[in-house]
Parts: sequence; C-alpha cells; structure tokens
Amino acid sequence: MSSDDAIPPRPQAPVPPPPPPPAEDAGSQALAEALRSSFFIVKIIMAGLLLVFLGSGFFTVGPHEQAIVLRLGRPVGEGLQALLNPGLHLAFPQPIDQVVRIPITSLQRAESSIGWYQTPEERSILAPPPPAGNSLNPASTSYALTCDSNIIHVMATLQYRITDPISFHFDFVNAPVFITNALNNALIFASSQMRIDDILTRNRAGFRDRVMDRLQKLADAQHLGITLDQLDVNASPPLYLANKFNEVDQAMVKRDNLRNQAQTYATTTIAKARGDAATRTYAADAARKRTVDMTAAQADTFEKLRSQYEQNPPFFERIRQMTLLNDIYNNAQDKITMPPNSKELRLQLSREPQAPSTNSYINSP
Amino acid sequence: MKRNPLILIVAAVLILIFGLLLFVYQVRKSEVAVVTLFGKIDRVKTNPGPGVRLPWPIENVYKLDQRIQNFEGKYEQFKLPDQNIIMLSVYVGYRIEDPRAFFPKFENGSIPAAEKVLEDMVRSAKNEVCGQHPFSDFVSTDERQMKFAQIEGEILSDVQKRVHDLNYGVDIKFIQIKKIGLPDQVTQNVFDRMTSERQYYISKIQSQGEEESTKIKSAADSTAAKLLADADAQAFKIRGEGEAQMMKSLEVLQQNPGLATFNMQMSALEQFLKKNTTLVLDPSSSPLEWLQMSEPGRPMLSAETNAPLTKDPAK
Repeated sequence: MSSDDAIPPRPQAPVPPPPPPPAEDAGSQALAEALRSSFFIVKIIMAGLLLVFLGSGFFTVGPHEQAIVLRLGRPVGEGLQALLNPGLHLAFPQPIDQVVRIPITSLQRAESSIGWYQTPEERSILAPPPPAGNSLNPASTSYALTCDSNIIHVMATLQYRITDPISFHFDFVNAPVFITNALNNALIFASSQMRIDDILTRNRAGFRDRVMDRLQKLADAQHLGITLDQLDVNASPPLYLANKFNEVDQAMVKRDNLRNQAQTYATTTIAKARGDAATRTYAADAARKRTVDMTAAQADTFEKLRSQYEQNPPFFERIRQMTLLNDIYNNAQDKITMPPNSKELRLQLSREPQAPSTNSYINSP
Repeated sequence: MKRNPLILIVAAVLILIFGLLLFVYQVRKSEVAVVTLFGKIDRVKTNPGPGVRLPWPIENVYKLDQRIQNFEGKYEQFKLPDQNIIMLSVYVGYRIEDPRAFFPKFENGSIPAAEKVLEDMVRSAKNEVCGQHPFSDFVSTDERQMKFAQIEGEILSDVQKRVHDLNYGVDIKFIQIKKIGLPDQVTQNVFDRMTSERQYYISKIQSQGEEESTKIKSAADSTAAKLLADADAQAFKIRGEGEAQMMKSLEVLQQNPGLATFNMQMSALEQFLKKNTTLVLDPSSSPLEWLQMSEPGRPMLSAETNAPLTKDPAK
C-alpha cells in the first residue's frame, strides 16, 4: 500500500529538467525539493522493511526445544519428520508459515494442586501455614483420605520430559493441566490405599511408588507424550493434630531408648556373668590342683617318715613339735610373756592397723 | 500514457492478497473449520491446510479446537448408601468429535456453553454412581475391595452414554477424581477419633517399651544366673574330682593313722600360725621354762609337758 505512495515521485522526476524559463516562484521550488528528499527517505524505509520481511523467515530453534512449521495450518513434513531440531531454519513469513516451538529436552515441572493445606502459590512464597482449627473447611483446605479413614495432607512435585511433542502439543489444549491433574489423582488414589502411619513414617517409599505407578498408568492411558523423571512426595498430619503425632514419635523414640538401654544392660550382665563363671571354674580347678598336689606331697612325706616314726613315735612327735614351735616363735610378730603370778592380762586389740589380720595365740600350759 | 510496470505489479499483488483474504481460509493442525452458508452449516473441513470460501456475509467460517479439553467439575457433596457423606470433584478430558453435531447445539460451537451442559451431566453421573458405593469402596487397604478406579470408570461410562444419547458430538476421553474430602462437621469427628487413636498409640508404645525392656533385662538376668549356676556346678564337680583324687592318694596314710593324723595336725598348726602372729606366753611354757631354773641344769617342767618326755630317748 505504502509502496503505492512511494512510486509516484519517480515519473515526476524527469519533469523538472525542461524548465528553462524559471517561471515558478522560489516557494514552490523549495516544496518540490522537500518532497523529493522525503520520498527518498520513504524509499529507504521501504527497502528496509522489505529486508526485515524477508529476513523474518529465518528463525532459530533453541538447544532445549524442537519446532514444527505449520504452512497454511498444515505441518510441514509427516509425523516425526515434521520436528525441527535445534539450529537455524527458514520459513515463510506469517501468515503463510507459523512456527510452533515445543520445549523438549529440558525438564518440566508439575506440582500437585490439591491435598495440601496451602495452595502451590502460597507454598512458592513460603507463606506461613494457616491456623490449625479443629475442623477443615472443604472450600479452603484440601487434603486426602487414607484407607483407615484418616485425614492427611499430601503433595507431590514431578519432573518430566516431553518425549512426544506432537501428541503433547496437538492432542491437548493444555497438557500441563492434565499432568497436574494426573498428579492430583495419583496422590488421592495412593493415599486411599494406605494407612496414615505408613504414608507418614513407616512406608514413605511405598507411598511414593504407588503415586508414581498410578501416574505412569494415567500418562500412558491418556497418551500425554511425557516421560516421568523424578517424583518427590511429602505428607503431613493435619495441623490440628501435629502435636499428637509428635507425641507418638517421641514415645517411639523413648521406647527405642528403653530397648537400647535394656540391651546394653543385657550385654553387660551376661558378659559379667560369663567372666564370673570362668573365675569360679578356674578357682575350683586351681583348688583341685592344690589339693591333689598337696595330698600327693603329704603321701610322699608320710611314706618317707613312716619308718622313722614307727621306731619311736613319742620321740618323733616331740621333735616335730619342737621344730614347729621353733618356727612359730621365730615367725611370730609379737611375743608377749606374761609376768609371773599374774592373774590378769590386758591386750589391746587392733594395735597395729597396718596389720589387721593378726592371729593371737595364747599358749598357756 | 505510459504506466510504470512496478505499479501494476504492486497493484496486482495487493488485489491478490485482498482476494485471498476474502476467499481463502486456513485450518491449523488440530483444528476443524465449520463453514456456514447464510447461517446454516454447509461443510466441515477437518484436515489442516487452506480452504476456499465465499466472502462474508454469504459464508462464515468458525474454527473449533479438536484437541482434548480439560474441564473440572465442582467440588460437591454426595450421599453414600451407608449414610456417609463424601465430597468429590472430578476432571474430564473431552474433545469435539463431530463438529456437525456439536456446532448447532452450543451456539456456534461455544466451549463454555458445552461445559455448562457437561457439568450438569457429570454431577448427575457422580450422584448416581456415589449412590451405589459405600465409603469403603473409596478408601480401603484391600485392593480387591477398593473400587476407586471402578468408580471413575462408572462415572465415565455414565457420562459417555448421556453424551452419546443426546448426540452432542463430544467424545469424553476420561474422567478422573481430582479431589476427595468430607464435610466440615465430619472432619471434626474424624479429628476427635484421630486424637483418641493417637492417645491409644502413645500409651501402647510406652507400655510396649517397658514390656520389652523388662523382658530383655529378665532374660539377661536369667541367662547370667544360669551361667553362674552352671559354673558352680562345674566347680563343684571339679572339686569333687579333686577330693576323689586326694582320697586315693591318702590311702597310703591308712598304713599308720597315728602318724597321718599327727602330720596333718602339725601342718595345720604351721599354716595357722605362719604369719602376723602375736604370741602371749606363760613363762612356764616350753621352752621358756628354761628361763626359770628351779635347780641348775634342769628346767621346771610341768606335769603335762613332762609326761611325754619320759619316753624321750634323749633324756
């Protein structure tokens, strides 16, 4: 349209040369000059626009995406061949060609939108949790039900990749919404099969697996064109009961402590008993050895002394008695001789605290 | 008069573009175009690409999205046959299957109008299906008893049947439960029950801990006592063996019991008075008697100590 306006000055250009008679005034001459220069500027702009129009056919596909060119609405190429890989490509300008870009290799993220006491938006800004009331208003708070008819809060975050971009983009108006809803459904489904304590503590991995399993089934059945990469699930008891659940956890810790203490006691007691038992057996063994050896020695001595004894028993006995007495007198720690004709003897017991096991022997005829 | 050919080309291009705009329309992949002639459906173009039309107001082109649309029903209460009340919302995946049927039913193929009708259908389907399933069909540990997927399937086939019967030209691809819950008042009862359940667990765990601890300790005590008893028995046996051996060795002593007894007495005395002994002696006892001479060279011997010495050969 504008090129239409730009052309007219050209035929007028040759007109000015034959004016030998400068009949027109200086004003109209200046006007003509101004028009000529503005037409020149318009021409440059036109050429520039034409270049931009032609250049707009070039487009780049980024490293994490693929693209499909729709020519007059129909994809260029059949099936997977229609997908353009990263790089520079050429297409006709709009409205002939239309480039549809689809993120593909980069990880996409989906977050469950039900089941938690906060919305995904509140979670993303780390909003404080709502006040814990003794009932839940279904309009404002979301949760799941467990198989033992308890209330639990659950949430999940999924990382996925688009592996069938054609299906993802051309089969669904808004595929991410379906993925979020599939995640919601999987959470509700898995919760309704498990007990609250299994989800919260005992079998968290089992819960995650069930969510993943259900999600995979839905993604396959609905042909969402995605590959599930990673799933993180989180669960929490109702805020109103958080303290009660903590008390149960504490009781469990206490129980484990008691058990550990008892086991320590058991190990120590049994080890000590083993030691004592060994001591008793060894002592008995030593005693036996001593007895046997002593008796053997006695028997041996007896054998040696018998003939001498039998020659004169009283003399033998007297000699042995005196030998022994001699040893006793020599070894005695204290020797006290009673004064003659004394009727009374006073002895202080424990005179020497350093030698408490003192034997007293009163030899009186 | 000479005309610039460029002007002619430009004019021709402009006329062509204008003509194309008037007579040609585009159908994108995943779209379908309904062409009406004076307001009545004339033809439907389902495959993507350009199509020819007569200019407005003779023909009009409406484009419908044939991709799967997401529709979410309201979160509503339903009464179950076991008198429980459950709150349920579902999401629906549907697509326009037959534009000829769909287009006239919902004022020029309006999606919001279609979804309004769909919502009513989904609600009554939910109502009907929920009326046949007790609460245990929604939540259960027993997978055979749990009919979560079956309930979804029943709602789906119910809605599919209604849509088909009324020929809405819509294909319901799937219906899944999105949200499940209980009415406000019921949650309060559930909380009360959960509280008492927790209390029960706390006391159960506490007594369990004490029980286990006592069991472990008593078992250890019993094992220890058994070990010691075994050791004592063993020790007793060892000592017995020792005594038996001793008695065997002592058989020789029977040859002269007098000497044997004397020897034993002597060694007992020796052991008894070996260490730390304090002796308190009467000066008249042997051999101190020698310190008190009644006559030179002869000690004053007591009757007892004297008596055995009468046999003394040294005398």
